[in-house]
Amino acid sequence: MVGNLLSLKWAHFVASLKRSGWALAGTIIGAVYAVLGLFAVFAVFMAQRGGEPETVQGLAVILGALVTALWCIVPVVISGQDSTLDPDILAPFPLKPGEILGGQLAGSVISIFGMMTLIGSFFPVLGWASPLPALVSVFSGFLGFLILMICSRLMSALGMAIRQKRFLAEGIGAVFFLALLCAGPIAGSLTESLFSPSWVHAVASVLGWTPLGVAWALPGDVAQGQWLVLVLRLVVTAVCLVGGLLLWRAVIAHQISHVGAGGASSSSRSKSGSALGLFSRFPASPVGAVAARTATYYFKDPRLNLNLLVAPGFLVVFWFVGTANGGASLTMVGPLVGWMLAWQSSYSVSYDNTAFALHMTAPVTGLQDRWGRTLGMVAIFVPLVVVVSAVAMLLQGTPGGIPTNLGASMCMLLAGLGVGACVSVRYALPVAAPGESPWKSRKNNSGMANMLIQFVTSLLIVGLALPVWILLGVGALTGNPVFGWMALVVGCLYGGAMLWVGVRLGGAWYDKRAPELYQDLARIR
Amino acid sequence: MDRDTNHLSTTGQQPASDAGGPPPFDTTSPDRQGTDAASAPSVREAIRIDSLSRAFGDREVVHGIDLTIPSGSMYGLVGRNGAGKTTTLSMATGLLRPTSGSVSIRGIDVWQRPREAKSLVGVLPDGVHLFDRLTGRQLITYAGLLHGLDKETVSERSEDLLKAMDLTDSANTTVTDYSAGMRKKIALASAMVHAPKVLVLDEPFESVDPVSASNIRDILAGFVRNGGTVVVSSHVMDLVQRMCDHVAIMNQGSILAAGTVDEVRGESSLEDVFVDLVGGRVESEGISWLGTS
Repeated sequence: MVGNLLSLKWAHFVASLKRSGWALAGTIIGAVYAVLGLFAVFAVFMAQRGGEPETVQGLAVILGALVTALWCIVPVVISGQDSTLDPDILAPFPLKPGEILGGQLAGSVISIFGMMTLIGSFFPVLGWASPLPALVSVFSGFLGFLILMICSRLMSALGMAIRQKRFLAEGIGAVFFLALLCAGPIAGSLTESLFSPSWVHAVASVLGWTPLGVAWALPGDVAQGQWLVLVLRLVVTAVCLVGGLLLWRAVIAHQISHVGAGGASSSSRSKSGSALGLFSRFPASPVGAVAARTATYYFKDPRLNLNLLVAPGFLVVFWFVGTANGGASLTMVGPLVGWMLAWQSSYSVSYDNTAFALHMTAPVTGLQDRWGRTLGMVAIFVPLVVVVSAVAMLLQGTPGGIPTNLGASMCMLLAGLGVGACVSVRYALPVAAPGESPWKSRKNNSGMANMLIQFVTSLLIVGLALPVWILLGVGALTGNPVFGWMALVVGCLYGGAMLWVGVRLGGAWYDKRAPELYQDLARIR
Repeated sequence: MDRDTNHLSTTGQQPASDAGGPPPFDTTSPDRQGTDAASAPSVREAIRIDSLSRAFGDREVVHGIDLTIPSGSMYGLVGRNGAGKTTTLSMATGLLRPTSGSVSIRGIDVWQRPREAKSLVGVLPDGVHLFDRLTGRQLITYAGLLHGLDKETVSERSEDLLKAMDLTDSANTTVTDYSAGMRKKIALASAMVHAPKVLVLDEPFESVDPVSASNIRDILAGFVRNGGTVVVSSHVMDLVQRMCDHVAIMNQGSILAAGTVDEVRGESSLEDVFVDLVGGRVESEGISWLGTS
């Protein structure tokens, strides 16, 4: 039966590759990244080959625990693992939980990252020059991989449970997003730390006793001849393995007998005062309504409010990186946040998905739709960018730079929103559908074409701000503060003008081809 | 709501003279907004479809159909899945551009004068997302404001609609937390808030519970009594036979039969006529090994 499930998974994998050239290209790109990662691990162990046993052990434990942790975190945040062999789907067939478990476990190897992880699990072998620890490494690598998959599946089941509690899911998503923003600096300091043996020993001595790292520590104990420790660790490993498998089987048994349970349960009612929310704050006209709806979505839709977290996120990251390298440079934060916010505005209609039909079936003009969306965003983004730009300059200790920085930031934001007002009506870009996890990547057949559109859009926004860049350059060369104030005035006026042009153009396009846009949206949904 | 759908008295129109002889549906539909003889025929035709076609790439899914939906009728459009019902209704409501042919709503060409036409129609598309991060009340308000209604009208009508749909208790709940039936109802309410003359409803009763379905049918019947027109697509024959006075049977992109329900079904039931026309029934003894003990 496990064999059947395995061949099912394989057939699914092959079919997903055959479906389109882009899917194949995406898989190849994923594979390239995975191979690069593998190569790094390979290099680490080759470099340590025959070195101090404690260090080799520590590296095996830390890298093993790190990969296991990744396999645990990703399914919680992104919607689940590959779901081909999910118990929900297999529930109608007379399968025992143990058979599904076996199928999932064996099937996990049939994917790029699963395969690469399995291969990588045996790389610690390379770190041992003497035969006995190397032999144990093969064994422990297999055990480590098993525990990794068990943990990952358990976490993905937990993730599914969490996703049914919308508020919890959105909170976790937001935290993860901030962590992701800091991923660069964290990865940087982590690689640095890996070169310090004392840090490696200290961390590994703790991680080596957790489910994440215990299996990877076994060969090191053999190499160092610590037999008592080895026995203890073997016991811990066995407990993790057996306990995990039993728990996993229990989870599967529960899942196949509770298909479709939950979901439509939690009814979070917001009975609070003003029943119409932002709709009572904006004018009661088509433009006002679209603006109110757009603004409401930026607060209530997790796919969109992640964008608002960018602002504080960038401040924190740049400050973090800056202080680590002595003397923070926050000059780029304001313009960068303006650019990011403007750039994501080109997804505006794509995020609506087929809900856009409501605009289509109402007598809304292109200009009304465009102005509504744009003004709704302006109402939130302008104050946000002003605050971020000013705070960045104050944190940096250069309050005199505020006019210049603000000018550049506003120009990026406003001109960029103009670009967005055109792009969002021209291209239906694949984004997570309403209600989906903001992390879900959409499978679509023109991925590369869309990446190109996004890339060109982002360049266009920077390019459009050219007049302000020139003023900035002149200001920097002459050191005359007048140019800073000029940048502020020109940035706002010119940016506003670009916004106006973008909205007019986007509105005209909307009137001409809204039905075609709607069909594109319906197709990728 | 009745108040709004009742008549268009604001422009001071007089009752139509019905000079052209009473149409067959006249007794059920006091549709009397037409003033002069020239516009009378077009107003009597709630929707007029002329040789309408749509092709996706090489594949033509609607083959030059003609269909006239009289004002004041409750019109059922039936067909199997994939017969072209949704495609046709999408073209009739401005969601999908026809490859050729024309659609007009009360004499206004949907694709020449889209905004005027759209003011006259309320649309419930099937299988589309809603702006579901809004609360139910916000969603209706949004639809009303998009149609250019003023604040007071919107708030008055949304309360009426929420009450009619039995959604008052959930009015401040976001639509994400609604059940499938509640979503259908709130979408229907959003389609009705601007007091359209014609309602185009794609599968309106799917996943709606029986009590709500009865309520909705009552609302629609009242709407028709007051001169409104309802077009319903469905593949539930019983429902259409019970609820509609007119029906068109669609299969593989063509209209096979159209007329009043009694004309179309004759002596037998609509379902039998439908199966006869559409074909596809498998004549067999059943599956021999299924159900034998």
